[in-house]
Amino acid sequence: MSNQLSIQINIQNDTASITLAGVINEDSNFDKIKNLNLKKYIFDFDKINIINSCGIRDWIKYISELNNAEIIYENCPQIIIEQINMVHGFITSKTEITSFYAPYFCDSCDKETKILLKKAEITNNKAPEKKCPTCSDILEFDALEKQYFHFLGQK
Amino acid sequence: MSIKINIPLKLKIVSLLSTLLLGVVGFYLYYALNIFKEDKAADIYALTLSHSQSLQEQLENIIQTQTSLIDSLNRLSEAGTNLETVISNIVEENPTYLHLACLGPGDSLVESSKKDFEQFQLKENEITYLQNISSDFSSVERKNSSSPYLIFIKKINSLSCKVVSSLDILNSIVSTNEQLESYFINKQGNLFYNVSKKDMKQISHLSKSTLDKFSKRTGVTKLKIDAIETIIAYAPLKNSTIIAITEVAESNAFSAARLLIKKSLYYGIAILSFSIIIGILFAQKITQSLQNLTTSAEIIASGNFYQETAIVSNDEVGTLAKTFENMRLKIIQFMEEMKEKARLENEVKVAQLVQSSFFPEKLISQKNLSIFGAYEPASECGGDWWGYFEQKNKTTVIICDATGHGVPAALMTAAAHSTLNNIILDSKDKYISPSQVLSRLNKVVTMMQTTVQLTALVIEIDHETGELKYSNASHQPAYILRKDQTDTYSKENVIPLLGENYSRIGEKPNSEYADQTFQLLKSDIIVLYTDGILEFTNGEKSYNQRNFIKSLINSSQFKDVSEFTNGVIADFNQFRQKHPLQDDITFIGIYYSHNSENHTNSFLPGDISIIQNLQDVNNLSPNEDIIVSHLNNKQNIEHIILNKKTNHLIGANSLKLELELNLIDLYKEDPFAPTAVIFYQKEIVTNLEIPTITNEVIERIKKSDSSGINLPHVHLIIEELLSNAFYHLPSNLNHLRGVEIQSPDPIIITLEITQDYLNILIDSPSKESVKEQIVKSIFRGQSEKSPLQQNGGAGLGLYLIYEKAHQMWIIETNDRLGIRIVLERFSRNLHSEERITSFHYIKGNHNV
Repeated sequence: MSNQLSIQINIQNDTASITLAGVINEDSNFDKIKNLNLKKYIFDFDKINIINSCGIRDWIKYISELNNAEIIYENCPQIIIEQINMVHGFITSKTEITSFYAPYFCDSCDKETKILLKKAEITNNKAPEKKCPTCSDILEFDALEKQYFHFLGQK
Repeated sequence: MSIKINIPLKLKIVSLLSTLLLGVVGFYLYYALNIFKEDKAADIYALTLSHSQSLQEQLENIIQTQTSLIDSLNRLSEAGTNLETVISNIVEENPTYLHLACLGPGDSLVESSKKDFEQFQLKENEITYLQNISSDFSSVERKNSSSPYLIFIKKINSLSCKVVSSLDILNSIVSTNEQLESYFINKQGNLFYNVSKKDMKQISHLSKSTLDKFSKRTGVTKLKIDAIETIIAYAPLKNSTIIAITEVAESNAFSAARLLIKKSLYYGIAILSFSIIIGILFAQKITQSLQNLTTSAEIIASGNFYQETAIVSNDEVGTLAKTFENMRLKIIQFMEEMKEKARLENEVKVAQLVQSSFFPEKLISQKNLSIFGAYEPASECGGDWWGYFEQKNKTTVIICDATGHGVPAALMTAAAHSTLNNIILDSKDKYISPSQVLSRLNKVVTMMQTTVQLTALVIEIDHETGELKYSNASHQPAYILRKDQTDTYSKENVIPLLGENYSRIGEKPNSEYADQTFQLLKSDIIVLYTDGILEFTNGEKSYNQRNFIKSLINSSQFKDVSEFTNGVIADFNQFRQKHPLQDDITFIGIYYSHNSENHTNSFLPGDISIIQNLQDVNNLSPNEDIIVSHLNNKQNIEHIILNKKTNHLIGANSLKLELELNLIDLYKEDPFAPTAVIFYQKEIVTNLEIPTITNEVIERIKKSDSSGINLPHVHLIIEELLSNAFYHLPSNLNHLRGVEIQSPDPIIITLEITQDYLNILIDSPSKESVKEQIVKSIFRGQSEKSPLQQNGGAGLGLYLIYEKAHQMWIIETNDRLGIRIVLERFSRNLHSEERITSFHYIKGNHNV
């Protein structure tokens, strides 16, 4: 089987910074990041294309084996956020999503653009105001806020 | 109004001429006279010197003559000649000689005198004197300055002679120039002989040193004598103390120059005076012309434009006068034109007033309708018009746009208004449909035999049924704004009333028009407008449809139709700023508020029920094959599980509801038939090919137009469907995952892409019906939202696919299973998310 997931790991003190790239599916091998017994894991999902149903299952299983370590998800693409919102288990009591991409739409340019948001910018499930990088007009948040930010209330 | 002239033009011209002339003449005089003076001075000096020298030579000649005489006498004496006779003869014969005495060797004296001049006979002392003079002695003297005699004494060898002659001998010396005063003076300052000096007293003013200087050499100098500058030329005689002097007062010497200056001055003054006179006359001519022009200007300023300016002149002033005259005539012409323009403007204002009465009151409130119109012409009168009339429980609205704008187009609106009035009268007796309104209007306009034509749109709204009937004569299509599942208006739910478009009004007399229908729903907003809005440009950009639609959506938030219309107009004006309209603009907003949804939707075939809520589900008949649902995905799947007769559940916010209904008909015929050009198709025999296939499809979509296509969703759907297909192969009895699975019959992936959707079909071998399994799997995923903990699939794939899909088609034949996923090309992620997923199940024959 071809393994399309690549994992890069950088361990400093008790923290692992793990960059994932490619596809998380049934063929993904997490051995490289198992049994590290660290206190904190920071997962960068920026380069993840998709995570399919088997990948979700395997990921949830992997996360559950991290033994109460602090887990940070950063730079989550929209597809990951959608999966997180649709499937329980991504977020545990020790998991936090610190940054993620959200869809915005510029009426003037008639184009969608993905904006990286920080969790701290979201208050009351309201998307922060952002400006179009091309024409500087105010962007419209292009998803259902309650639905998209649902993961922030998950534990 | 007279304007004070500070410096008249005449004065300027005369001053200019005078100054110029004065400067030139004065400079010339100064320069020329200086040269003349210097030249004259040189002449004077040369003349006086020459005169002195001439006198000197003349006297020297006389002395020489005397000397020659004595010399002759000496030779005679030495020759032994008796001089007595000789002397006597000389005295007698020569009138000049008055006395001649010679003392020869041995002191022999011989002398002779003329009669009456015996007193000159030598006295004892004189003889002694002569005896004692040295050899070669000579002297010339006069007894005194008044003495009329000249005494010449000379000794040559041993002969001493004394010659007394009269001054006549000196009278040959004359002066030809009266200004020159000449005389002979000796070194001691005693006058020897006055040739022409007038005032002899001045001679005493010559100092010893001066005389001493004069006695040494010839020359010319200038001395001040008695305060008079005098030019003195002096020439001393050789071997004598006598000096010939010529004097001239400097003032007398330059009298010619002074005369010249004087005469030049007189001439200069004369020329200046002449030029001043000429200048005055010339200036007079110019200023008179200008004065006439000033007078003409004052007359015109007072309001009299008909006074001609008569100036005949061939210079710039003449040109100015001609130009002025042209200006006067132009002003008269302009005034006439202004009068005419004012008259026309007045008439246009009246026309504008009359035309404004053709429009209905802005806000019309009726039973289930409220209408609010806005109109602005591009000029005083416009070619847009709208009106309405009521018949029974229907309201008909008509909007027109005449070609062009201004008065000709405005007259056409009068015809339209008049026609409508007639229709209103006729409608009391019989029903008049929108197409009949257009026909009537067309007949009227074509009878007018004008080149102006109209576009027109007529819509009729049935208050009770919500049916909208319309007929379009080449006008802009109306828009229907319809709320979606979330009770909001959006760009995706703006429905243009398209369909047949008929000839313009007035294009041909026998144009035919027909009616088309559309079903309104509660809260639908109907918008009619003219193209002046869409086609407006503010110099940089045109307003265009995008801004217009955006404005409609923005203003749809208002509950009141007048606020809606005003909001749209306000957005337009914000874009427009201060730019003038290029064309008339008309905008009509119509709010329809009647709930007509219990009636059959006219475009849905058969009796298709619409489920608004769960209660509606309970009210459905058991044979509902096709339903339109406003419920959410989970509720819909639940319904499908519970209502096995429902094979087609269509999400109410389908982007193209009619299209989806057409697909039902098509797929019922042949569920695997392509409905568009195949974009991608491949047969797969092993699950190892899934990543490659997936990447291939994604890359190919990226290279074509991927707008409105969510590529991560496409990636996920294809991967999940293919994985599922292999996992559920009849040959994979153990439902293994993570191993290679091969399919004896190929699994076929087919993609179709149109401008409206992306259609993915996974066609795989199957031996049993899996519809129930599929919907249950979806429902489990929706309910539990967690993966199955098993070695096989996670049980989430279909759930994930269903939530992301817009249409899911399950197609079963006796040996194939097709799962078709349709992704509608929403331009907005938000609307894609809101889309209620349609579920379709088709049981058919396999036609591959």
